[in-house]
Amino acid sequence: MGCVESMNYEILMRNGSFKECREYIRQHFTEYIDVQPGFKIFDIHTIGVPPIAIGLDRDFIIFPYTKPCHGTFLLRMEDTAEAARLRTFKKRV
Amino acid sequence: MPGNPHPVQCHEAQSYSLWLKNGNYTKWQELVNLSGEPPTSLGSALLVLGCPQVPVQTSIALYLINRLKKSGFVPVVAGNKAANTLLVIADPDRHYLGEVMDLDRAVTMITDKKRDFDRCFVFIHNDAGISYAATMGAISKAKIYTLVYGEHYEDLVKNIDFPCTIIAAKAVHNPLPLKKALDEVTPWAA
Repeated sequence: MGCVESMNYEILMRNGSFKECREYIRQHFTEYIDVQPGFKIFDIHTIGVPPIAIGLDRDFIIFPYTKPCHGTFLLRMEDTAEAARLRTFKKRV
Repeated sequence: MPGNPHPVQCHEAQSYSLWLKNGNYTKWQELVNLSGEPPTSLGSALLVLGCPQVPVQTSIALYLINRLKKSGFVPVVAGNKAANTLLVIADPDRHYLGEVMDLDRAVTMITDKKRDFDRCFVFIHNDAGISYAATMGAISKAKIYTLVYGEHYEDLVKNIDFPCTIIAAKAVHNPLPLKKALDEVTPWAA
């Protein structure tokens, strides 16, 4: 698994619930995809209750990141290639 | 097994080997080994630990591991560093513990289809625990059991809307309510 700590990220929400993160993405981003748990983003397997919403904002990716002791964080990361890859999944949905 | 006051299945031989080395049940050990049948396993069981801030988790995990082993399951523990270390320190000679792995690694291996389990027990006392349980339900073919505990266990149970067997009790420091709930379900039964 990739180490999120080593990446350049912005925390949009911390210690949230999986429902709050899903609702935040759907309310604040017109472009998003729903994925199943285990779906890989940045080589990280997503954890959560399906469907897991992943937001897309130009080259930024907004996704939930869950830690056992700290709940779910909503992270925002910039990556042109990964955003383009995720958009291919959007077309398939 | 003539003369054995406590008949045991072959798969229990390994579980009891450390007791037997202490002397009291030497004859029992010989009888088990002489049966000639290889130890059998009912399958594997993954214990997904949550944050160890609620004390009952470590106690119930060791109890569940013991019951699973006695029933012929091979238990594997997956947790974060703190949760795993609490167990490893509590069982230095590995009387109960078998394989212990990092939780993220377990998720990766199951998702990548490199490994799976027959039963999966997810410890839940917060929202993150529900997320991990739902994830296990989605990526694994295992039968999912959720062990829900803590002060707010009823609220957590309401948020579980995926297929699983819920074992719940208000248990924070005292593990007995959760042990009782586990014993009623007997998830280690074949």
